[in-house]
Amino acid sequence: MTTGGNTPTNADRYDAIVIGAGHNGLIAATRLAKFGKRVLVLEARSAAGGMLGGDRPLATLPFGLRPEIEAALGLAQFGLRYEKPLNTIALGGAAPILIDGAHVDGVEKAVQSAYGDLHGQLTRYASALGGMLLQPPPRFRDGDRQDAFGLAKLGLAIRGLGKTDMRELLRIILSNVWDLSEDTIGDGPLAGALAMDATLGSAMAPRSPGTVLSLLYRMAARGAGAPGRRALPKGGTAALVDALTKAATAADVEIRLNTPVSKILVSDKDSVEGVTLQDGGEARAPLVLSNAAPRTTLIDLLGVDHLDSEMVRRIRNMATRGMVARIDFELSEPPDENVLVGGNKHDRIVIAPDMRYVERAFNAAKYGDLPPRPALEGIFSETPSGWRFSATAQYAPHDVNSGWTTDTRATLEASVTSVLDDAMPGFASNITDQTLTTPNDIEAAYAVTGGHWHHGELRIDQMLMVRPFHGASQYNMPVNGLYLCGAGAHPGGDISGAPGWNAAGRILKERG
Amino acid sequence: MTYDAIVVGAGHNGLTTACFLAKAGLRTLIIEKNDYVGGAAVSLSLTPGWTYSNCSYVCSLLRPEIIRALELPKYGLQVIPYEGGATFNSEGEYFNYSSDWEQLRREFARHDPADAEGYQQFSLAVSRQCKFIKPLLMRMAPDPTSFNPRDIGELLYLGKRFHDLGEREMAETVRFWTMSVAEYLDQYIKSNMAKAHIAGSGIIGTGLGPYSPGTAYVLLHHYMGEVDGEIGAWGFARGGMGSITKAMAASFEASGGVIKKGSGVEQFITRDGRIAGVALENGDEHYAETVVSGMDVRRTFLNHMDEKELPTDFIKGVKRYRFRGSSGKLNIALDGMPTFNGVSPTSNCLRGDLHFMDDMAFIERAYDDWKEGRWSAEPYVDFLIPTQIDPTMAPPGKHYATVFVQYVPYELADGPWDDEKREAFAESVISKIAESSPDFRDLIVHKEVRTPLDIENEVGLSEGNIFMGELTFDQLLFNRPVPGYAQYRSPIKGLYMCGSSTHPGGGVMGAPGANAAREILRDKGRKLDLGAAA
Repeated sequence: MTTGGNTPTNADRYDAIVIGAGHNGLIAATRLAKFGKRVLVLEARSAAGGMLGGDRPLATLPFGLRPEIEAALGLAQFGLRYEKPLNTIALGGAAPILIDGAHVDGVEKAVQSAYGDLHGQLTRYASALGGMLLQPPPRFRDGDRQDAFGLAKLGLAIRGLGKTDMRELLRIILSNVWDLSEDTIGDGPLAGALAMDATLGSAMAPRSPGTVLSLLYRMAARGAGAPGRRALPKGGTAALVDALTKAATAADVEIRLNTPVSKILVSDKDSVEGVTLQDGGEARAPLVLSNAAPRTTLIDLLGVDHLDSEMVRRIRNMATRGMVARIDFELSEPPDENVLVGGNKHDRIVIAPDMRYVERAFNAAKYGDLPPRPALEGIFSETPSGWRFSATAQYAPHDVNSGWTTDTRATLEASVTSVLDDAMPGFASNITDQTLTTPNDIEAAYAVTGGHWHHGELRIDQMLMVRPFHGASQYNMPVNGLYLCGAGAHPGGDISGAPGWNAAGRILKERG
Repeated sequence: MTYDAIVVGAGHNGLTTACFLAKAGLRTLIIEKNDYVGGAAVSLSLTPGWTYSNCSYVCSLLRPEIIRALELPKYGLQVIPYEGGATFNSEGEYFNYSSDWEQLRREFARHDPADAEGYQQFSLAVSRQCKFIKPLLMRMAPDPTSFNPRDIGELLYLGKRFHDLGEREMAETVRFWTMSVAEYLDQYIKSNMAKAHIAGSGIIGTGLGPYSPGTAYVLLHHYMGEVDGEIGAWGFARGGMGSITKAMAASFEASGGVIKKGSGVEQFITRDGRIAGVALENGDEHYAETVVSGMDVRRTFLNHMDEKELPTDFIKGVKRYRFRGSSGKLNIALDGMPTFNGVSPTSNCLRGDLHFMDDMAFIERAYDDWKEGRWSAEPYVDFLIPTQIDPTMAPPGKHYATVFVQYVPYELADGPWDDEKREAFAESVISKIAESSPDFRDLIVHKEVRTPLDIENEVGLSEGNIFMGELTFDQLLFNRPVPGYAQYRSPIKGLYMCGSSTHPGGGVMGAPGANAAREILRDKGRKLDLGAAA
């Protein structure tokens, strides 16, 4: 790995250039390199890993990479190991509850059993649909044999659920998590936690139709092999980035940090030729994969000159309004065991006492205001100097009415601190330092439009063959040789690795 | 007395089913609990000299095939398209909708130069979608889990129609069926007032706000009608909405049908697991091997049948089926024509739907109140004065105003509805209108206030939901009303459903009624006669 400074003065030739060393960029690069391509990864930041990387990673609670990808890249061999799947400790309600997969402690027996059934049902649906994650989204029309096969496979997977499950899936699939919970577990901290899973990172609230689909997307994850679970890599997210980087380097991928790209070069035959760098250099390749968000890729790096006006309209209309902020609290003391109700210090904490609470938090944000009581997800971790609590706060609108001024930032920090202190008494007095990352900060730091975690909303109108939008699906961008390999492409956000893996697969299929 | 078929409820769907059955030669009886026919499509006189369309108030969705097959014009139905519409904002400005295309383009351009073109693009998108949906309205919704050849055939038909759209339009269809009306409009139109004016169609009758995904479909649902062949147009039924159901009743009686009014069904009578007839509240019993319920699913199966006779999965589905009434209404007798800020009293925009709001966020905020169990402090109002076009509904020089209100909860967070609360709710509506019409309040000579609870009590629509159940995807197509029972047949042999709880849902459309009749006749080895229109 080189770290900037030695950029080429003239064209270095590669088979493929990947813009961005996020996990998807690294995975796409490694897959291509393992196939014998000479691949260069250009990363603007000083660390690889995108939202997983750096001293204060944004993705502290990743949904696991697809096990298939981990196996294919041999990440275990590069040191990747997982802790056991995370429990969720839901605070802020009348009594704390502990959620361990399908099992929940601290609720009535009837709710406990209803939740077990619901979890089982959702896991079945998620795994039936999960087959879609590691293949290009099938086109309904004008597709090839593989598309038809993909559609048939999806149809069979849904049929394979059996009549009762299939009916129920087709009923709830575009519905909202509010109704789903109301029909099964009722409202309360358990439903609040479920609603958080369904809405994290998106501009949707529990009542928004479509939140069952985003919940199923989450449930398709397999943290440490456990369906629907999240698990932390041993050694934290840094260990995951380390394994991905080692796998890439071992496959002879060249990674350059501190090397922002300024433009994608296009020949007069509408084919990509490489990229120009912000430091004035160039790198050349007939293939360019972008791990950046769709709008950044097409409008900023490619340029509207290469797009027709309808495409530009679609890009601009893509829903990418970031709604989450991150606050890292540095703490003088470890978490109080009493609040952890039998979970452990590294479990995930959710503060969303019920669905109504989450809905109300969204009420303010949808008009561009900050909610007085944000809903939170967070996790404790040890640092060299003490403890840290990394809190994800929703909803914090990218386009906040007051602008992200010092005052606005202070208001959000104060409300998050107060919610945390109410749920974990004494929390506030242990704070030694805090760092707020607003959606605007996220936008600037990671080149994602709107500061959106998933590079665009995970809704049915931006999923599958219409992700990121019609005319740009299946990883091919409107210019020959340009591919999208980030969360803006199918299947979407979180740390699945699937967009990167699939984009590389698409290229290998098209170009061998 | 024994009939071939009994239809419960003389709403527009019950009447439609009954008409088609009677036309096919079945001796058909309609049972109606009220002393008048019409259900939610009625004209009532509640103060001397005035006629109110006191529930549904405008007409567009009624399928032209049904109008022709039942010869409704012959029995007195006349639909008059209205000409305009307007939205007034809090700053004294207005957006003037017009059925004249050139005038409308100029008005859009007046609000934003790009909007004339944007609106044209939007209109084209809407009409392409309507063209896609319309043929589906008068067909059965296929069950995707079934291996029955007819279901597979219908699915293939759907698949082919979808496929024939082409990829671009397919993507557009997915967007239109799932997006929020606000986001959908944002793609095309810039002016806040213009967007708000249009967005109302996405939330009328619905427990969702304009920012909720799924509301663009509700807008489509309101655009797939027509008046005299003009797509998406809306009109007044001359003499009020009761003219539609009166014409249907006359058509029914002309085919030999019998209507018994004034006593509703107490219990559906079954014998050996199949339907046998109905027992009425007044003690009468009527028998038929075919019984059709025009009531919604909750009333039909939970209130008037023994749960034990029904399969548990079905009962579970019925109990889960969502009504969540969200609409209220004021019917107002006016001493004269009110004036509106900045608009000439003769402007054609007043001869249409009037609204009072600044932007789509206004409607969303009205929805936020409803979510918390309160009526909207600042309600969305769909206000019309039909007597400008149809003078038969009020004495000369006087007017009738129909004021549809969104959002009003069926159950209030702070306890049951009472007269004081109803008055306070009415006041919130009147003062909203008075902001843009200073003389409106003083012209009121009589008003009728209707909450969802009143609508449930009088008309029988559960929780006052005007569509007999929400129009969200989990309750559309093969999911309406209950997955596996979406083809008008109930689990009880011989008992059918024909109300708006069935596909394709609410509005004065008649399609559920006609579809139910088709399935009933099919089970008897007969075909539905839509005449030359088919």
